[in-house]
Amino acid sequence: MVFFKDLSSAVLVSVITIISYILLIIPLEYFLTEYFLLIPEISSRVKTFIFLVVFLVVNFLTIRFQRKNRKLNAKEIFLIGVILIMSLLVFKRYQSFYQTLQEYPRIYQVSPSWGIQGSLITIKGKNFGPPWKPGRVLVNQVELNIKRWQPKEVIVELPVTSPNPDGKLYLINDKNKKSNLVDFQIKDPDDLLN
Amino acid sequence: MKQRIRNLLKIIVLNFIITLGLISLVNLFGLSLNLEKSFLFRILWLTLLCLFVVSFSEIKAFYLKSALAKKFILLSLLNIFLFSLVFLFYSIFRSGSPLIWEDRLSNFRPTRKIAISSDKPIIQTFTAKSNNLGTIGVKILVKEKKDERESVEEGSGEIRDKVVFRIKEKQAKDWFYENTYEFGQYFQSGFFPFGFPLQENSKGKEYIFELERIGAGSGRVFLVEKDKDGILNFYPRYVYNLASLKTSWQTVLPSIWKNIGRKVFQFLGLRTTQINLLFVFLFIESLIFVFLKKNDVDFINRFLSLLRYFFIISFLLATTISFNFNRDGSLRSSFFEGILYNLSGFSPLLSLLAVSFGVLFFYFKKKTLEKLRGKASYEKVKKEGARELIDSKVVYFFLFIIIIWASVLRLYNIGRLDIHHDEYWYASAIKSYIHTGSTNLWNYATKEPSARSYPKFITILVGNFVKLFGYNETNLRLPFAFAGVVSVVLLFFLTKEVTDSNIISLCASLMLALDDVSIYLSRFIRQYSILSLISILLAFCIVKDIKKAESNRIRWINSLFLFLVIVFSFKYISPLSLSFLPIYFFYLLVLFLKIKNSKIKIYFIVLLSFFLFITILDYFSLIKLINIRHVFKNNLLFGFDLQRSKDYFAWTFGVFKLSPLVTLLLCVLSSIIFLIRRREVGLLIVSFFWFPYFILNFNLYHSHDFRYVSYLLPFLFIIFSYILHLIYKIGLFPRSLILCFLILLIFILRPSLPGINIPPVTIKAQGDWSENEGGRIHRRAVAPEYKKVFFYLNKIQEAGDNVIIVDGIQYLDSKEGINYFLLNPWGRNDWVLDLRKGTKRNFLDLVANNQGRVFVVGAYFHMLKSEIVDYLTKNCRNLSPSLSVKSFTYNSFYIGKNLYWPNLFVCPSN
Repeated sequence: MVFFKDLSSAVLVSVITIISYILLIIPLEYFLTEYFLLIPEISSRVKTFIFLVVFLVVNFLTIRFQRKNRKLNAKEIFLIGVILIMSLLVFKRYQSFYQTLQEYPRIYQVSPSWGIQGSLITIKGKNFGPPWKPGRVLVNQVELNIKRWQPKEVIVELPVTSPNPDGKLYLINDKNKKSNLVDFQIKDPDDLLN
Repeated sequence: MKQRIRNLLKIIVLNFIITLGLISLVNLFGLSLNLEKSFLFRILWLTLLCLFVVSFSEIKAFYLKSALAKKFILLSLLNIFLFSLVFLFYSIFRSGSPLIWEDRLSNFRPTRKIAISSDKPIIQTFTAKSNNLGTIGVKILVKEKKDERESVEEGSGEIRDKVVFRIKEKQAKDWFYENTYEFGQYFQSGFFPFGFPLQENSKGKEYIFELERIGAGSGRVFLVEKDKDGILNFYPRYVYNLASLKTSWQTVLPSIWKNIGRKVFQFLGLRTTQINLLFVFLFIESLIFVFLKKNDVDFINRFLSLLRYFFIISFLLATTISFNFNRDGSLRSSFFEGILYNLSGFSPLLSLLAVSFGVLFFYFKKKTLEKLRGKASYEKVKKEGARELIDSKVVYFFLFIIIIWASVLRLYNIGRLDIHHDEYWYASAIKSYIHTGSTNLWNYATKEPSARSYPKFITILVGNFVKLFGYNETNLRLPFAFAGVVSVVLLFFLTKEVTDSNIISLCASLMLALDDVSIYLSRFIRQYSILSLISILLAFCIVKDIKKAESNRIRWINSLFLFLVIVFSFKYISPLSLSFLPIYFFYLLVLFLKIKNSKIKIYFIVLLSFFLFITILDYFSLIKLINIRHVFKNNLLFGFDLQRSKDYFAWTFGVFKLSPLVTLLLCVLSSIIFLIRRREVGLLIVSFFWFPYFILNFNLYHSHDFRYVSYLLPFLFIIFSYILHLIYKIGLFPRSLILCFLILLIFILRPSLPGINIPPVTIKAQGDWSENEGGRIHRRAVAPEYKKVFFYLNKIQEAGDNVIIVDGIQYLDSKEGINYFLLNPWGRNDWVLDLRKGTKRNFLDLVANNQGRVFVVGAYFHMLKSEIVDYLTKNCRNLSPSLSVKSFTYNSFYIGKNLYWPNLFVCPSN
């Protein structure tokens, strides 16, 4: 019966690993890439690494759990099964939701965060759209001249306009979706001399 | 401490394998966790390796204590020696003789595919590493049409079928060689050799060559591969002259030695070679280990348990990989086909690895094995027969349901489609048989048999049926459908004979009943379903005999049946001989089982002799098979880069005899059989034989055509059912009948995967299949509407007209005073054959200078010469649109775009 015991605990470990991974990856991905905008994406390699870490943690916890000779009863097994199915369904729903979010452009970095007439500004982010379908970049109502348009990087030139210390830079892609707002100062060239 | 680490590692490995299985199961239902499976598998192999290292001292201790240590070392040394020998010869001969050196790029990774075009030639420079440069081989990929998914460079323009090759020394002004090469209709992707006059003093010189397309083409795209550094996938080929070896061997011989050295190192440098060498070596070492342990107490039971582990692991691997494959969205979405496809590719290596580790590690898990053995040993299974999952009375009720289901799937709407594609052959021969008694093909113009003969057995069998019930589509197809249904029933009994289990037998017949390949081939006027039936019948007879039939009478009936089949095959050889391939394996089994009954032994020896005889008779050019250069060039399974051959039978047999992996498999099988002293256990292993055999066979044809190996499918289902049963036995399945069937149904009726809209099991009649569905089973499954067009043509044709038929002639009603011609689409001819006179005429000449109207009819216009199609579309009127014939584009196989399905052109008289 040793093998069957091993096997049942292995199934349990795999189920708990998948549940834990799903519960961890959903908030992690959403908050890092969409809410706090810290990184554009979590690559599948990194996700796999996270999965492996979760797997190891669950393994060690399960071994400790088994040492106490505590066995799961039928009700608990049923509950774990239900949680697995629920978490898988939630994950599927989340994936489609996350996919719809990818229509919206996201700006992660604007460099430099200020500009004068004619200065070039590099905007880094994601979902900007293909080079052959460039969108628009605006600071409040002022539209910037596009010099280079890539799906993850846009270079724009500041036109002749009046200074604005409290400007908000944003991007509109070819699908007419607006990005997040980033602080951007339009300075007067004279101020730089002073 | 060490023991604890070992145990911990074992638990983690087991947990990891199960976790991967669960991830695959989740993927099966379209719920991707976005994980890198290849990375996970690498981790798995790494942990297995760790386990090996950790357990090494245990293994070492085991051997040191054992008296078998010396034998093991000796056999291992022999293994290394033989392995090196095979490796040396293979690397020397794999790309020509030792006199030829193809300087291939090792581990080339293509990053771009560029079309060969006229506006921008493909240019490549290289420095010759040796003298006698004579050929440049360039990898050329053929695409039927421009595929948006491929990263074809922008502006590559229209691609034609003629390519110009030029070569010169880099510093030279003029090209020293320039020639135009034509890529025929059947040109397939691969290295194309561009030959030129031998450059004797080429060593160290820098050359430049270019490829450019010219002229009008068929619309196919020819692509070359480049890596990230912009280097083309090509090889320069140096050829040493044998004559010069005789005259000045002192100077040439060192070059040849050097060449051999180059070849060996080049081959060793390939990653696939390294992996193959490692895996096959490990595999043989495991077998040596098993061989030495054969005298252990209760060895067979332990060995059987190991086999179970092996097959469960490889089955899980195959299924896991298959899910991945399906997610690519390609046409091969059939579940079993997907598994086979993947098994045929690289997973034999995984299987070898699995068995190596399986043998080495699970052998030490004695306690576990004992527990397993307690429940699953053969004797116990036999004793537990009464405790089968299904009551023997109920089993026939289930079988009845399966038969009804199989019949509905095979018979529903069977006469709906017109006789199409290859159905023409048997339809034509049968027409000839029922009118005149001849089995030659029918000449539809003269209404008498032609001079071309056709295999008689099936023609006579089906011909008599059609004679009784009438010549129409339904009656022509019924015998084949009937054979399909009988196969389902017979498979149940065969499986029962082999496994003594009702549930395995039911599973196997259910799988065959629902298998879409089997359904399609049972609804097609071609020999495949009858071949399949004969295979099962033969296997059934042999199993019966081996198990010592209850009475001599049954044995004699079996023998009589086999004799009849042999006689028929002998007389009407070609298609039937295929069904004898499986017999070879049964023969091997019986030969080595040390059966005391010498009569049965003789009877199998006769079978084998017959099998060999057919091979020799059928393939007069046997000399080709022993041409070592040819065989080593194309047949070797290392790296699994096989090429297909039309002579599939000879090919299979040729590979069978000469390629190392197959020889290896045979050795393995033979040694296993030697070890088994009990016949019943041997019978269980019979089912396992099919596994590698099928992998091997399917590997040969996996690129396109499933039908050539379809007769092996039933045997595969036995294995699948057996595995399911084993999984049940070791407790992975819930011990409840309803749940068992539910799980089976989930596997069979699983939801469609993303990107694939085809249901896994076709419950529609073939007539209702869409273009995609048909293409999945066979690229020619979509039937043209011949009747519609030919009935109209038959009505309007008048004396003085000329009718040129491309295909669909089976619906022609010939009349006096009309000239009938045949235009063969397969030959890409520019001439037509006069069906009455048997003479040839130029097509354009006939159409341009005709006295009466000219009708040109057929579906395969896209296979005709472009000049002919151009003429027809410009000068003649297509009547098919007004007859509301559907249009159809063959975008998967043939060239260009088709017009209607079929077309009926009428050209006015001059």
